[in-house]
Amino acid sequence: MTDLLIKLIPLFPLLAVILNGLVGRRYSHEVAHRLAWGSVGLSFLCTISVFVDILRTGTPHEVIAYQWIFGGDLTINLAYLVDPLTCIMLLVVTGVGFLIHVYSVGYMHGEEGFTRFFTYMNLFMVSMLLLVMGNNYVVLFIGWEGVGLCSYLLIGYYYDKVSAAKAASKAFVVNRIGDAGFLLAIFLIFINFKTLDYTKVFAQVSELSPEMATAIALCLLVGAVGKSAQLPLYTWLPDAMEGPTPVSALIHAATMVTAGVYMIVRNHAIFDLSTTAMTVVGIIGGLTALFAATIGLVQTDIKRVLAYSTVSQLGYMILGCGIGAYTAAIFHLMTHAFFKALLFLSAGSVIHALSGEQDIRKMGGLSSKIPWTYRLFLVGTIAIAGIPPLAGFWSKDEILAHAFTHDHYLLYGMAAIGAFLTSFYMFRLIYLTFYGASRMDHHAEEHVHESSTVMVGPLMALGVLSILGGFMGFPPEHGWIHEFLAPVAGVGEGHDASTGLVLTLMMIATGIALLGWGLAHYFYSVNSSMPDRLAAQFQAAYATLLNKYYVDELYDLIWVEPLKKLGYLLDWFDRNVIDGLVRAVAQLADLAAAGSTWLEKYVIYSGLNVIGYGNHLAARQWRQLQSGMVHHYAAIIVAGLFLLAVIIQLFMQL
Amino acid sequence: MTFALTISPSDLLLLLPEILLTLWLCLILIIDFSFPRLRNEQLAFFSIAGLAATLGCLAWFDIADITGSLFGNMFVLDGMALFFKMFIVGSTILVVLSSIDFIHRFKFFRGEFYFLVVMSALGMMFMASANDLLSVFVALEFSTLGLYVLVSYLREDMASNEAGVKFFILGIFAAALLAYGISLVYGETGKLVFSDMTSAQATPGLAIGFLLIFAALGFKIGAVPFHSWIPDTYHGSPTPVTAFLSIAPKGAAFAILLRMFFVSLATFKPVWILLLVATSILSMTYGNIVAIAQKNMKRLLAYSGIAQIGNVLIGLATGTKMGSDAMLFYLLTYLFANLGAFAVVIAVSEAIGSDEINDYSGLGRRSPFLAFSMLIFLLSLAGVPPLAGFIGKLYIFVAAVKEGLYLLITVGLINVVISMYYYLIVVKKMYVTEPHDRSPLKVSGSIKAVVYVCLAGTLAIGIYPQPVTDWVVSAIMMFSQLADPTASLPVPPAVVPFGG
Amino acid sequence: MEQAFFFYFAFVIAATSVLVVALRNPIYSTLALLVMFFHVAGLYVTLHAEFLAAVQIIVYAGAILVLYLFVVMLLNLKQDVRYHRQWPMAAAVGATLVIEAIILTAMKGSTTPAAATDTETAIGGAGNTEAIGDVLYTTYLFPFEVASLILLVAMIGAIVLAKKDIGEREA
Repeated sequence: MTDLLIKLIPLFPLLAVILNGLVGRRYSHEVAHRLAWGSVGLSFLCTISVFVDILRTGTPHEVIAYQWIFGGDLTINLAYLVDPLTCIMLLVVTGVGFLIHVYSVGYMHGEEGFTRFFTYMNLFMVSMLLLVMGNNYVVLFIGWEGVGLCSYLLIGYYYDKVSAAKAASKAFVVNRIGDAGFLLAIFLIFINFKTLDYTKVFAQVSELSPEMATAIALCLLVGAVGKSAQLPLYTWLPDAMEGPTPVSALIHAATMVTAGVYMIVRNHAIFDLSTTAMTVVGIIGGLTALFAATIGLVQTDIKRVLAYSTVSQLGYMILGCGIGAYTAAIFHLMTHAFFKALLFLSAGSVIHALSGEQDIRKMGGLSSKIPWTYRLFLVGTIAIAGIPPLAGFWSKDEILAHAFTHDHYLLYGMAAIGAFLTSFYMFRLIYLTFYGASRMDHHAEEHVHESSTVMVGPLMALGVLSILGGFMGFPPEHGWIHEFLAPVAGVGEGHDASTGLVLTLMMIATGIALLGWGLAHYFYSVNSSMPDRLAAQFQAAYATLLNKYYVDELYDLIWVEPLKKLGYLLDWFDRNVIDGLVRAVAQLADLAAAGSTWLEKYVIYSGLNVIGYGNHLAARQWRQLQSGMVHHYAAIIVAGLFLLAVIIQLFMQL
Repeated sequence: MTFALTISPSDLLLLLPEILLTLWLCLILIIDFSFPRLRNEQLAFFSIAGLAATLGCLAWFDIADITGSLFGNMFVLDGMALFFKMFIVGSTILVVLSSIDFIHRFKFFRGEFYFLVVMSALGMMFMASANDLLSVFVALEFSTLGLYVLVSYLREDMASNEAGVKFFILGIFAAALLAYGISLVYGETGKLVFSDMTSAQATPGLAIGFLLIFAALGFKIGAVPFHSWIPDTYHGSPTPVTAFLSIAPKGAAFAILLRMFFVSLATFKPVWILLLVATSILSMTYGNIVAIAQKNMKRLLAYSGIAQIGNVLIGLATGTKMGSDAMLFYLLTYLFANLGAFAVVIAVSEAIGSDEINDYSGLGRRSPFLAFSMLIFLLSLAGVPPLAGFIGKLYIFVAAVKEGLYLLITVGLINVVISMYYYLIVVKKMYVTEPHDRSPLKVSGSIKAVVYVCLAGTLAIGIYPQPVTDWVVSAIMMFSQLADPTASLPVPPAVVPFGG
Repeated sequence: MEQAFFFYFAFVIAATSVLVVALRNPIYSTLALLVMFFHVAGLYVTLHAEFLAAVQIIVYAGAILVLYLFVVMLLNLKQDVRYHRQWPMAAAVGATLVIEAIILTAMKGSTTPAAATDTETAIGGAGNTEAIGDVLYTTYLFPFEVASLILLVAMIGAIVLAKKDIGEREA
């Protein structure tokens, strides 16, 4: 029974694609969207049933849906492997996917290409399901390519806009570069193992030489870097925001970009064999996490901030993979899906409310006007900042703790700074968007309205998940999810850290998050007429925390001074140090952002452009060989013959 | 010395397809001048009827396993010959179908067009069966002669004339090389039939001789450095002729190449494998890179064809049975994708009168059918699953992996990425760019039929490749004693378990 | 003695071939071609293939060359005034071929080519014409028949390319 359900999971969206794609024009939008989210919903139900089954029995299911190329050495079937890892991914994909589909009904209401949108979305679902459910590298690759194609189609959904079309092409091309590495990895695997099935490959993995394992792992990493938008192949993700917001939520936050992480975790057996590859993975993850966060500090488009934040969070997941914390990476993948989807959909709600405005400098004071959106956005922000007890904290802290306890101090440092920056810019976002005086365009301001239930409903569901989802991994390293994923993701090296250390690290993580919030609040809300109680309330909590650890001495010093001196000191402190700090941090942020932009424009782009330009240059030069004159052609034949003859004769002499 | 020849009626049965086609040709001519008021389509359908009958006959031969050799092994009918003959006749049928609308551009001599096309096809069928150098030469010249005329069919069009002249001059040059090569080989071995040459000794004369023959055959398939005629000729000739040129002669030439390399040169494998590796790398890289700069659809397909042939040569370079199986499979997928693409080009050219890629803008809006079909064909050429081209490339690369040709595979994979770029340029133009004129395009019935057949082929082979794989594997049984007999494309096991 | 004849014929053939391409006046080129044909016939005679020599002269020198001369006269081709600078290319290609030829002959070794049988013994005293006729209709029947089809294609092709159709004349 379970096997049948497994086969049905990708079939429902496929049916919707066929119906909507081929005959969608014949029936109304109502029918179309019901088909779309209905099919995803059915897939979700099947997933739950399968999940329950795996929970009970713990044995993975391998199901062959269709024998494609078989016999002898080469066997490639359309087959599925459903084990705990697949289950988690399926739950995320179908569950969050379902919510986003429902949301899209409201968001895309009235659009001309309504049916086309849902056709593409369902096609994406099919591809993503194939990707996570496949039991061999070929099905994985088919899904991989399929999601890339759908990403292209959906980013370029507004095909009238030149920027959208360009962004779509950029996404596809940069992805393709990653795919080349991935293909190479697949062939290396085939050469070494003579098979492409996961179970057979992983059974023989110990026979690999370290160099070959490193090679395969690095090639796989290239694929992951492309798909999951890591350095240096991340540039497509911010531009991909040209697509409709549900697309950004589903594809560029919750699912497609996580495919790279999934792929690394799936192949962890190979990565575990090569410390070089793991180091590279970790460094790339850490650098990306930090780098993207610095850029996010100064962005003014609401979706771009979220985009860079996605890149940064993906960096965390990749970092987690690099240090061997596979379960933590998947855990963070899951929680990230919840709160990032929530944030994107809420942002969509904001944009919808403001009739299309996306610049946060033109927002402000929305908290009272669109209360539900605001509240849920806040939930998402708190979750992503990593403030307990929301979901983001548990997963992010686990990665940080793992890094620290396994002596990856540099990575821990990078991740910690990144966390601080994440909290800072996310709260900055929320302050600028929802708080303070309204800087809105008057016309937009008149039409501000809360979104319909069909849009707010999924937001609420995601909000609940963002709040409660973290408890799957509680207590850290011994939560439910760790036990569930243990057979697949491998148990991490013995966690011999003391409870005290664990708690300390948690506190540090929280402190970092709150510090970020506090600083953001100070910078962006000091001059606002926003109810101070919220700020004061949290300020107190922050101050209390700080009091407990490092401020005692400082405050002691201050308190021994006479009150007058205290007054002057505080005043001096206020005017020079803090303002100076503000200016310095602002300048630093600007510098970092400019530096990142410069890096992006001149180094990364030029690198990619060199390849593209090199091709064009070669094309233009080589094209001149085709001169149009027959005797030249004949000469080419003779010259070619001569060369070949020389080669052969040399070879025959040897 | 006495020369004797014994032919019995059962021997003539082997020649039945060719005889049938020859008679039909004469009928075409007769009907054409007996009924001057005959419309194009009727003559076209008449030709197709004959071709279909030939195809049926070949299929019967294949199923009934009617094989044999005639004329002292000069004419061989084995599984591979049958495959290539069906390949050629099939592509001819599709070409004739797609040319029905195009014919109105020829002011005169319309009936002769069909005659010449079928004549060339007949010549290529002879090429597929040719087992000795003399037959190769004669059949090659026979088929190419018809093609020379076909390329210059648009007599008033300068481009067509120029294409014809260039093709002719270079073709004659290639024929000269072929003749010289044959004479050298004959001089060194004293034999003409391929299977008699297996015990030849490695002398420079022999090497140069075979190299020259390879040059002439390379000319026909369009491998670098013998490819220069392709862009200009494809560009100038009438598009149905371009379509014909892009597929049928290549198939026929590959039949000869397979026989030559695997039968007569079997003992010199390391030498010609090196030769093929060099040619393959050059073809793939050159074809793909120069295709990027193209602004004309026919030229783009020409260069893409050069690159595809580079891929097929990877299969030849493996020197194994599996490689040959993969080659045949790939050629079949290339047939459907390429002919389909050209059918779309013909339809667009009929509707808007241009072959420039810029004029394909907005095709997605003006004719969703044409744009979608073109998308499928281009994606198949690029090797995207689940289309036929993907499986073709997969087989070729697997065969290459087995032989350890890692350099070829790396270059091949890089080229897959490069080729995506220019295929996507066309797709982007079709779907994203705004058209100048939004009026919908009409597509005629015959072109639709061709496109449907090619679509069906591309999709069906991609999703369910097993029957074609079996066919191809059984077609190359003849090489099994020369290469590793156990290494071949997958053959289904006796019991087929289906997941439950 | 035979060697002397061979070298004479070979040298003249090579020289006149170059002249055909290099001379500017088309009539001179055609005449050089004629000389070449005669010397090829001479080569055939040294190989005891008299029939081929006769056919060479009748068909090539008699029919094909005359056709060329007619075309040249009808087209009224003047001297080619524009002279494309092809000497560098020609020198390169020529050098290539010469090098290959030298390599071929130098590396030939002492093995006699397998096809080296005297024509007399090969045909067993049957006479040139009879031998060729025999072979053409028995062993090599297949290429022979295909060649006849080539003639058909050539005819139709020439008409298609060159003839003004009746309708055209009226138009």
